[in-house]
Amino acid sequence: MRARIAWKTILIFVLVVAVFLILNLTSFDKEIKNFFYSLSSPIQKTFWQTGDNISDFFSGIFRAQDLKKETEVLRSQNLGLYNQIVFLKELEKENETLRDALNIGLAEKFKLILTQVLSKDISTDSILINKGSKDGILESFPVVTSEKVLLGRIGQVFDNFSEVILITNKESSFDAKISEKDISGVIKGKGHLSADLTLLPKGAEVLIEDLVLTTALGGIFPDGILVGKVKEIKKSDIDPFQTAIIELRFSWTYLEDLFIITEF
Amino acid sequence: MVRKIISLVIGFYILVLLQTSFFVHFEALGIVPNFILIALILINLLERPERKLGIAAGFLGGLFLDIFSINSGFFFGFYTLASLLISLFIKYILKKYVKIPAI
Repeated sequence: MRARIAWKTILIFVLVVAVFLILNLTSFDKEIKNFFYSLSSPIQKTFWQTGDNISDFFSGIFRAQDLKKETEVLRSQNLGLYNQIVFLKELEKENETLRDALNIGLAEKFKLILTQVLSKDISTDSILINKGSKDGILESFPVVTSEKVLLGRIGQVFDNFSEVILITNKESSFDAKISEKDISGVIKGKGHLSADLTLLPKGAEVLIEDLVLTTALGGIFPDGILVGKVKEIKKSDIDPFQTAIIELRFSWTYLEDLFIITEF
Repeated sequence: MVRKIISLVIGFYILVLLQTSFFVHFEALGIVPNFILIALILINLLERPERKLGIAAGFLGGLFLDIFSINSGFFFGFYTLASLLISLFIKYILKKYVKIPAI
């Protein structure tokens, strides 16, 4: 009797393995996922927005002290930026005059598609968005936030949904540069929403608060999109390169509306 | 039994949606606990070893994890097989080595 039960369990297990094998070989798993995502997207959207609002509320309470300090820093930075705005406005005028003189049209830099976040992967730094192959989305399209900060690139594409591989995903690595300096390196995702700017030449003068931008090298991302700023620099005598830990410019709290760059 | 399985399906479905869309906003150090895994372990631990609901929970919980993990890096079905094995392992240990005194 006991042997019969053991055989029954083994048989069921083998059957389950066989079904999954067929699903993986026929890519029918994508259809199943797309069906469940379609069914759940209204609930997921509600959950995402509710979670967003509640975490906003609590982070305000828990981070009151930090926010006070941050406000002071931002206030002083703001004053400095006023001067820059005045200077840049002068440059803008000059630029417009030159454009008129040379007859250059102000064409849009990118072609964008608006999308919303539905969920985050349980185990890796990937998110699900509500645009898929039916909306013209293809693998490797760059994804940015509404503030034009780099978020990641499109991974798997379903009919109505797509996966965004965040730049912090362990699978992600791409070329980047330090703003206003001739220094470039490679950004590697470390998982858990953190990433490093690696392979920076040892002699290069990288400073904390330096801005990190994308480069057109590799052809994945357009040139000059903000990734984050340098938070910490790691140097070692035996390592021929230095590594910078990046403070990314996006967080879950503000992730809702995103843009997919379809042409650049 | 059928009623219990239907409740499991509904329960796990709501749990996986909460896990992927709600609890991600409250992660600590970039980690969100896997509530499905916790639930199926608890079901298997609290149920009598000869009952089969824990195995059904293992299968269903794993299946939902497979469907709602966008890119886990594993093949589709990995979580289902892993959860099933976990459920069977707990059942085996409880049956073989744990004696619960009759009240």
